[in-house]
Amino acid sequence: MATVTEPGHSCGTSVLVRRVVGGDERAWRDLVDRNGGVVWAAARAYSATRADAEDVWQATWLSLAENLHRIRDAEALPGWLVTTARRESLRLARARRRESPAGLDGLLVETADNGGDPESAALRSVLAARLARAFSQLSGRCQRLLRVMAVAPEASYEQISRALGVPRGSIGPKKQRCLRTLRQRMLALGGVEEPEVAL
Amino acid sequence: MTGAGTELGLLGRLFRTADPTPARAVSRAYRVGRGLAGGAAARRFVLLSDSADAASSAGSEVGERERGLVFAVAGRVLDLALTPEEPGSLRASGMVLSRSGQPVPGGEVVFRHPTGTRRGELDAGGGFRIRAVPAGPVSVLLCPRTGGRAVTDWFVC
Repeated sequence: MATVTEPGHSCGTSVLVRRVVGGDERAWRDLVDRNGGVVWAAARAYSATRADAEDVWQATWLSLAENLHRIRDAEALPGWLVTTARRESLRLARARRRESPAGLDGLLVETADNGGDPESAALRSVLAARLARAFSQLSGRCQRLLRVMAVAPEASYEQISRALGVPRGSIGPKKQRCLRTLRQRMLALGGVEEPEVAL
Repeated sequence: MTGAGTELGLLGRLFRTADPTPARAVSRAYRVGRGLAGGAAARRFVLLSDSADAASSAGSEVGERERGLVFAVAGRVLDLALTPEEPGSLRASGMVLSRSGQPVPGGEVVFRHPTGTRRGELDAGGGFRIRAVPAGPVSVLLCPRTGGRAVTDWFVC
C-alpha cells in the first residue's frame, strides 16, 4: 500500500476524491490501495476474527462510497476511514460479545497447517514463534498500537491517533514503552538474536 | 534485533505474511466503486442508540440474542431489532414512527447488503418483519408511502 502522508499523495488525495465523486472507478481503486493498509490494521486490531475484520472493512468502504460527497476536506479522508473502521469494529465486538485479541498465536497455528511453502516454513521458525508469543503477552493497548504501526508504517501519528482513539502526543512514548516491553518478553523467552530464517 | 525499526519491521512482515488484507476483501472494496451512488440521494439516519453499547457499559446480558438499534432523521424514527435466526442470517423486525410517536403506515423497509436486498412492507401499525437478512454489512433504507426516503450508514450485524 502506498503512503498517505507524503506531500505528493496528500495533494493526490484531493484530486482522487474529485475524480471518484465524478464516477472514476480507477480513482476509487487508488483510494482503496492508498488507504487499505491502515484500514485493515485498524479493523484487525479491534476485531476478534478475520471474518469480523473483513465485514468491518467492507462496511467502511461502503460507507465511504455513500458519504464521499459529504467530505469537504480530502485531507481528512484517511482519518475518517480509520475512525469508521475502529468504531464499527468495537461496536461489532460488543454486539457479538467477543474480546478483541490482536495476538498472533492462533494465526501461526493456522499458517502451520498451510503446507510447506517457504513463507509457512519461515513462520514456523523459532524467531517467528518467539516474536509472536512475546507479542501476545503484551497488553491489548500495546498489541493494537504495534500492530497498526507495523502493518501501516507509512501512517502518520494523526492517523494512528484516530485509528486507536488515543491522543496524538501519547503515541511516541507509548510506542517506546511497548517496544521495550516486547524486547523484555523476547529476552525472557530466549533471546533476541537475528533470525536464522528470514521472515 | 537491535532497534525499534527492526522490531516493527519484523512484526510488520509477520503480520503481512500471517494476516494480510485478504485478496477477496480488496476485490470487494474495488467493486464498491462500481455503484457509488447507491444510497447517496436519500436523507441519512443518525444512530441514536445501540443495545450493544448499553449492554457493554452496564455489564449486563441484555441483548445477548437480540440487538436493538434506534435511528432518527427529521420526522422519522426507526426502531430496529436484529435477532439471530440461523448461522449467518438474522431476522429484522421493528417499527417506523413519526417524531411524535405515531406509527408510519405504508411503505417499505429495505435491508441492503453487498450482494442484494431484503425487503419488508410496513403494516398499518408501522411495523415490519424481514427474515433471512444476511449477517455482515447492511444498510437500512426506509421508503415510506408519504415523505422522503432515508437511509442508515452501513454497519455490521
